[in-house]
Amino acid sequence: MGDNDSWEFGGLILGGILFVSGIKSLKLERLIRNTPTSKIRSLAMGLVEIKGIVVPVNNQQILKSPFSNKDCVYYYYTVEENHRDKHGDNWSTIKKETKFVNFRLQDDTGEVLVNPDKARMQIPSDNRYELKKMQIIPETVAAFLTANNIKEKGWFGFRRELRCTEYFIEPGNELYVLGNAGKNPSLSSAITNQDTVIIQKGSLFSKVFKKNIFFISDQKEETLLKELKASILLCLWGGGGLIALATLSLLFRMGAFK
Amino acid sequence: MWGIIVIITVLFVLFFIGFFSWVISIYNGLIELKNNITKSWANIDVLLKQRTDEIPNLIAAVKGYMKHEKDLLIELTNARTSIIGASSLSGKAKADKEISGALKSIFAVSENYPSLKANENFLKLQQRITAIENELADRREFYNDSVNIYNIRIQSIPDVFFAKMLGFVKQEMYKVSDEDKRNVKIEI
Repeated sequence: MGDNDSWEFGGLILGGILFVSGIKSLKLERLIRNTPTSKIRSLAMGLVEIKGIVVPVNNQQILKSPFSNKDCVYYYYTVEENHRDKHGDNWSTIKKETKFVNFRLQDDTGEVLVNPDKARMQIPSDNRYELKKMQIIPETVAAFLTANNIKEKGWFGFRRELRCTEYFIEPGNELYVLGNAGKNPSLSSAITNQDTVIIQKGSLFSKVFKKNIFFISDQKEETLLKELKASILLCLWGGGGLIALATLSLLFRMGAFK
Repeated sequence: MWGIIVIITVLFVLFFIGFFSWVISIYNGLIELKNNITKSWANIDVLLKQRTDEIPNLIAAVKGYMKHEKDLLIELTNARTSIIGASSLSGKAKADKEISGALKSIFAVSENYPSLKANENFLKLQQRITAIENELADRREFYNDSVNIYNIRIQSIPDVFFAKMLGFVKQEMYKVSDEDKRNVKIEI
């Protein structure tokens, strides 16, 4: 017993995690593939798949992306710092935040209100700034760091190795949304022209029937399916292969093949 | 030695659990797709009922103006009776087409009656029914997409083997009749 055991048991655990992750990706891939796209004007209540363009609800419900100061309805950012050691790069997150507002999704038949709270977002990063590599730091990034008391320079005046990454959804972006269409809970009898239907995360009821999936992406459905397939292949076969390899190695060392 | 036996036994058990889980997931997946078709037809049914409920109001609004279009109004009334009485999917689809045809004719003919066209009640009904017709068109497309996904799945490997065994058969799409596809002759 020694180091070899840790690789085999580690392999079994990692293989198991990969395999389970592959199964989850497979379930999502199946759901996306098996759910036809609905037109917004004829949405039925329940789990729906819709595609359209982001339209802000009004001028007041608009955010600014943290590093590039662009109009957006959702953003997520991270500020990371690299602490190099003998093993290489070691990035740790020193600040992160997610912010969003309700927005409308518009297709060629109509618009519907979307509340992106608790959605699983799959949007590639829009901007990444590695400050140490930049001669001039953009004003908006510098302003953000100042406003959030993040010092650009460290010991002895050397620039810290910071990496700022932002992900955001802008008005005009084409989105893919898989979520629950339901009655807007914020309807008020005192206000006219309200959105009666809203797309959001399902309720506890729908969770029981495993239909409370809420997934938003700014990639096309075909691209999403390709990426999920690649992830499934890697995780299922990779995880399964790792489990098989670790088990065979364990059996071999225990003399099963003598 | 015991360790080896335990590991091999665990592997066999995991393999069988995995295999049966896979078979169950295929069956459940097919059931889900079949139920999606049922649900998408039920969602068409809801709109068919809404449209059917508007027809008496429409007939009441137009009959005073369109005295010479008795045949059209009778056609619409009969189509409404058919859809109320229809219990099968094909019966409802046939009656749906008859109503759509009759409504199209009534709205086309209403162009010859300016006083009817100016009637606010008639205009609101026309807008409501047109909106329902548009939603119906979307939901028929959705129904066909659901059927298409199901049909592809039961004919693809590995589901094809289980589908045959478990009695899953190909479903028919909502089709337009050859008469509906004919070009409309417009005389100016």
